Amino acid sequence: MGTVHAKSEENAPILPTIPQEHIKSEPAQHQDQREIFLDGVKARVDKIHVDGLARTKDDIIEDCIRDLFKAADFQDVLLRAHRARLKLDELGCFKNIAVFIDTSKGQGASPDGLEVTFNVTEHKRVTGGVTTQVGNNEGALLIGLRAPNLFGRGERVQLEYSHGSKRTTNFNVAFIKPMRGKYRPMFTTSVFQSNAEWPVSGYKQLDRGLLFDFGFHSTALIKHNIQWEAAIRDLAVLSRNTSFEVREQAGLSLKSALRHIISIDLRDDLIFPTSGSLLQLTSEVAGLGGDVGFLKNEFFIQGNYSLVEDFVLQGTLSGGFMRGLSNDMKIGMSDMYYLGGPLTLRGFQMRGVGPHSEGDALGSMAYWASGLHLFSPLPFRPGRGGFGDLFKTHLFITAGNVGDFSLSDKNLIDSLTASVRISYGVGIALRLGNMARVEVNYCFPHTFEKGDQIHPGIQFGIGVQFV
Amino acid sequence: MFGDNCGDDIQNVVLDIEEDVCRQTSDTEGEMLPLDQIEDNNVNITDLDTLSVSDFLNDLDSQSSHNTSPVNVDSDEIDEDIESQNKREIALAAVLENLHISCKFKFVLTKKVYFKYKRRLVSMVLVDRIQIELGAQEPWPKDVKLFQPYEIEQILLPDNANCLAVQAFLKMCNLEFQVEPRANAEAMSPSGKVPFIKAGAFVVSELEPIVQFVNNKGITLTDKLDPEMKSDMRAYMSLVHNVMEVAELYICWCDKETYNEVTSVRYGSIYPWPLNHIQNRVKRAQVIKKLKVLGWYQKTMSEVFQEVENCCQALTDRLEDKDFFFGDKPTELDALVFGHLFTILTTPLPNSHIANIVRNYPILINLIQRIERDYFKRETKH
Repeated sequence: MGTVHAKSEENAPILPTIPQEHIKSEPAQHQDQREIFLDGVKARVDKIHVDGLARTKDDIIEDCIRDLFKAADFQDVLLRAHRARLKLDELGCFKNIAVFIDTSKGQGASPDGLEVTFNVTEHKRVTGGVTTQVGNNEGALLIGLRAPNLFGRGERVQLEYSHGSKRTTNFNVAFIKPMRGKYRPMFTTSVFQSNAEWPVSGYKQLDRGLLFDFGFHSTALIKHNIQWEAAIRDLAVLSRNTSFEVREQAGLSLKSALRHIISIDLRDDLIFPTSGSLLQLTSEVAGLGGDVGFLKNEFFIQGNYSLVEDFVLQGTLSGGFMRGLSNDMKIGMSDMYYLGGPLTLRGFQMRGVGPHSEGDALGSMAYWASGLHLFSPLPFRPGRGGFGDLFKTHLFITAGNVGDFSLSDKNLIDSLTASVRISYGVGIALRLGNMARVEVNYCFPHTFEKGDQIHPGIQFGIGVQFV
Repeated sequence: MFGDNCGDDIQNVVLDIEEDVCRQTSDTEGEMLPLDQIEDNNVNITDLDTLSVSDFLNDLDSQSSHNTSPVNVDSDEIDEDIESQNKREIALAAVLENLHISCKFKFVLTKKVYFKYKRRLVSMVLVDRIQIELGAQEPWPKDVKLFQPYEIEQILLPDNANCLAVQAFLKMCNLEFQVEPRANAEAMSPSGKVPFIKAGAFVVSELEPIVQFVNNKGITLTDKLDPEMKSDMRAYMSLVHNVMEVAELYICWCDKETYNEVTSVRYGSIYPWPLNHIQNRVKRAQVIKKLKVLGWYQKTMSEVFQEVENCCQALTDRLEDKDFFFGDKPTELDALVFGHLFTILTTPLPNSHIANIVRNYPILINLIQRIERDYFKRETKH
């Protein structure tokens, strides 16, 4: 429709009155041509007011709203106002942004002149909260403290501590600075400490490090992140029964890595998209200093097709390949690839596919995994239009393989498909807020190798990115 | 019973206990006595070992049979007389000893601390028992490997002494093994200390546990010793641990010259910059903390040398004109003394005073030369 919606409800009724003013001035039989009509209305933005600014500096606000002056007709004004609102929102300085459009009055007002008013409410100096967070098949309690808009240009400092259900703890202090420019660059620097236990691999790891992230958009939809991470990682043996191969990996390592992530997200929804696709490419080079060295490439593709109403076919393919840089450089267990578990190959234990030593999963240098899902609403549609829409049923089949494949291998396709693992099943998926998907599946591992740890029957999964 | 605690590292428990006891000592709630003081008070370690450990284990067994769920004991629930509390204290100390926990002192613990760590210890005692029982059934495997840091560029004086002691012991037992140097041997070791051996599925670290492990296979150097001599031997071994090893730690980490020229270079050699500097600091802080607990950090260099001299004198008095400390056959005490003194004599340090002290005891030098000739020269012909 081209109208601009404000975030808060109380401002909403004001907005439609503005276009109606123009509509009224024309004969009523043109009701069905309204959009064309809006297009045709000549309009010029005379003035823009931004109310409610206290700490925020003018220059970044100007950058966000300058485009609005270029509007030539009324629809253009609406679209540009909407875009300006999104940009203001992206600054992270305001908790509330309302847009008002009015005809321009008083001295110097042009005949088609409009005045646009942005009514903003700034965040407090310090905000905080306790929330939940969903990660790698685990739920976590997140305690956060934020100081938004620190110097008036959208800079913020945030402090987060999370404690996961699987004894994972994370501590993170980050400084984030959005910068001016048409590529919407954003600079993040953070100090982190994370502690994770991997009983399936018999180790626990404590990471302490620094992360610099530079993110920008090369076009509106293509997002880049360039990261440099330096971390001291302490891998410790989890128990006396841990296999010796894992024990041999114990000790400290220093990783310094450059990473480039490209993501193109054209989906219409994060959790249950009905159309659109997602492409994510990650390249990582470790070994610029430190004693961990490898080259790593990964991809993740997801496509969604709406077959008939509410029946969505989702296909996912992901894969990764890494190789060591030199014999002097280590590759940590946490750098390597594992397969299996409720987020990847259903019907297998977490990290249950691939090489194991005395029951502990060992990593591999390459993997691929794919999944095909048919999502449908709950049978007989209970709670339609409300609670019931949070649930979907799905039939799925997943396949994948993990191993030390080599790209130079002539029969690469053969070796990738030689010992492919396949599982299928049926389950219920649930949208958890707008951040995670929960799945309860009944799985049937179909093809597997001798050393794999299968998990037939009911499997529970929670996470953000599923295969 | 095992619950989520079976993954607990002994090292962690000991560190926690050490910390707790340190705090308690300062609060004067509890009391901690270094081992040598206990010996002065004529507490016989062997008695503790045989009597109280079984008591303790019985205690645990009755506990574990009553409760299938993990033991939850509130301090309010505890209603026991003083006698059993004393027994408990002794038992815990003995269990710590039995588990070969590397703390070189005994605790007199309050109820609170005892129950705090009991649950964690219970699971470890059981695991340990099971492991020992299983291990005893198998003969000495062919592919035993002894893991230690790199001798030329990495290893430090105290670690080298301990590694050499274990090597000497295994050679005295005529057991086959291969030395496998690893940069991360310390991190790989289940107790965080080197050396450790891998025999089949078992990983055992440090001299005393290895001696125990070997004994469980029916191989022993002390079968001819009567109980009194055995307890004597253990007393001398703890003397060497408590004086020689601590003195070596002191010289490596607290003597500025040695630290700067030798210790920091060698200890940091396995880490890339800047991790080497960070790790040196971390390790040094750990060692200093330990020395403070033992009451050595406040000592001056000359006091440390005096301690070493006293220790050498005590060993010389014991050895007299015998071939080995207990008759004509070597024991683990001989292995331990050899490990320490040989390392002290052969390691070049900026401050060579400690080597000079040892050189003043020709009886000990003779012993070391004898052991080296008998057990090490045969294979290493260079």
